[in-house]
Amino acid sequence: MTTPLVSIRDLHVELGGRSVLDGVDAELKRGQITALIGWNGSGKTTLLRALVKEVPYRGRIEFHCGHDHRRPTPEHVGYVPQKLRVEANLPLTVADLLGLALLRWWPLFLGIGRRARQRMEQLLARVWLGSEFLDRPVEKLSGGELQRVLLALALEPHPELLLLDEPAAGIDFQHAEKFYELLADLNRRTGVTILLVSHELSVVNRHAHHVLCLTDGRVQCQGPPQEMLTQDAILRTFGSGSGLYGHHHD
Amino acid sequence: MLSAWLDGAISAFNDLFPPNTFFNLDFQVRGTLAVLLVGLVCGAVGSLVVGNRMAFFSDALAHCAFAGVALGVLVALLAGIRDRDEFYEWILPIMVAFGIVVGLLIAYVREMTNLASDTVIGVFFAGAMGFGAILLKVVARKQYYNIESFLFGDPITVSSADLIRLFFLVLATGVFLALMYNDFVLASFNPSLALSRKVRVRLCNFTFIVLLALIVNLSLHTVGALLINAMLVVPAATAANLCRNMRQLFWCTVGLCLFVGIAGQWLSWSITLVDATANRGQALNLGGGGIMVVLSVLLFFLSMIVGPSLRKR
Repeated sequence: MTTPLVSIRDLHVELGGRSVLDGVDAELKRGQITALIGWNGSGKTTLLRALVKEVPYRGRIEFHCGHDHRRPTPEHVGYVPQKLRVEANLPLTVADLLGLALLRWWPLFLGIGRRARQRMEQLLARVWLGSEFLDRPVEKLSGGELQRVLLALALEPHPELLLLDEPAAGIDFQHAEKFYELLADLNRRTGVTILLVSHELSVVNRHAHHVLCLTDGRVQCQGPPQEMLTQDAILRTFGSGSGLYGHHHD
Repeated sequence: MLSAWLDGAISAFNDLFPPNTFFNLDFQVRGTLAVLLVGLVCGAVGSLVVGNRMAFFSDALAHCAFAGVALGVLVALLAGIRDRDEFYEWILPIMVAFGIVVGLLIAYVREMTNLASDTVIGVFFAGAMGFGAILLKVVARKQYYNIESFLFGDPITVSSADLIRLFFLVLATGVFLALMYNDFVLASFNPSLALSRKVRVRLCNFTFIVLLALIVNLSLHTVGALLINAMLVVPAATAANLCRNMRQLFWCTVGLCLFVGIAGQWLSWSITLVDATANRGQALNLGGGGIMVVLSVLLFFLSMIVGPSLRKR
């Protein structure tokens, strides 16, 4: 039986006087892809923010990896945000973004050395992007390309847990599909544990090992996708008009 | 002791030049050193202010200095201080401490509530201005404090003690940038991402606010409360129009700040207007701080024209 990497026990989060998570109990199994689904505002992103200690919480989050996780470290937790809040007209390139995160004791404005650049090229190769992307402005990347850059960053050095907040939101179907294939491939090859917030139930059905449904800050149901993504369960979570739809290609 | 040493060094430097030339005048040398130091700090943090959408925040800090001065004057008067030089020594630490407290309070209230940043900043801005206005008549009495110099600044009024403070400010800014530049910029894009990279997001934000409050308050004598924000924001905005990456943006902002500082100082020395009305024939010098800001705004518009073609190359 697969052992848990993270146990979440009776987790409560209040933001601005409002309860966002209300007694969440869940386990993220080692080496599995867990999909977190639910309506907007159900607490999915807040759960990720609690896992990286961005919001104060009551309850327990236990990492079973033998490390003290009072603060997340890149060696153990990789995070892929839904988007970046980059000021319009700021000349941020992919190399800048990677450099800001990877160069620990070397301010970016002093330049990026040859070895650091080679390391960045290797990182991009891991997510099927060429080295020409390094000098590309972040604002000129497509949604799918930006998500892969952020994934490359999250994968450095080699985290045990990868958190992804709606990585395919706003990306066209083909790029989203490619991104999820990349994730599944990484999970198979490296055994990285993945917690993924997603609204795309057909993708969840195909790639996730475990599904966690949140409603109003509570776990409504959890289990394997074959059991969780039945028409009844989907209607309970998302309401009428929801369901699994196949995609057709010419 | 440092002030006396600097006075002697400037005086020795002045003696190297013919009488009544720019570098022969000690106040011009002090002014030039002041704009160089202020240009360095404003340039070094300008891209962080613009990149982190803190233009309104830094503007509010500058205006809050008005209330800081008012509080300083009040405390000095209550303490029985009457000497003008001594007054300034009392006002400065109170003004700086007030700026730091207001900056930290804005950040704290913003963090603890769901209110928009602009709203929180606007409330503190209004409160500080109101408090300053209550004491306006006391502050504006010139025997206590020169309100014009506070509002618009003038590099040539800078003392050796001010220069030493600015020098330590440059050092503090350098230490902050060396330790926290990457972390602060990354956190401004996405705090969760920064936290997952082991960045101490709150520490970075609060440290930057303290630094910004120090920069704004200690630079007031050189460029003034109404103009300091322009030095923090406009060169960085100009550089963003011209540069292709963040490394270029940093150095270009520093370069632009130094350029407009030196150019402004030189122009205020070389351009004089002759008063044709009341005091016939009297030469009038232009305000150095104002020239710097107008120059940087002109460069901003120029960058809007040439920027697109430069960034494409």
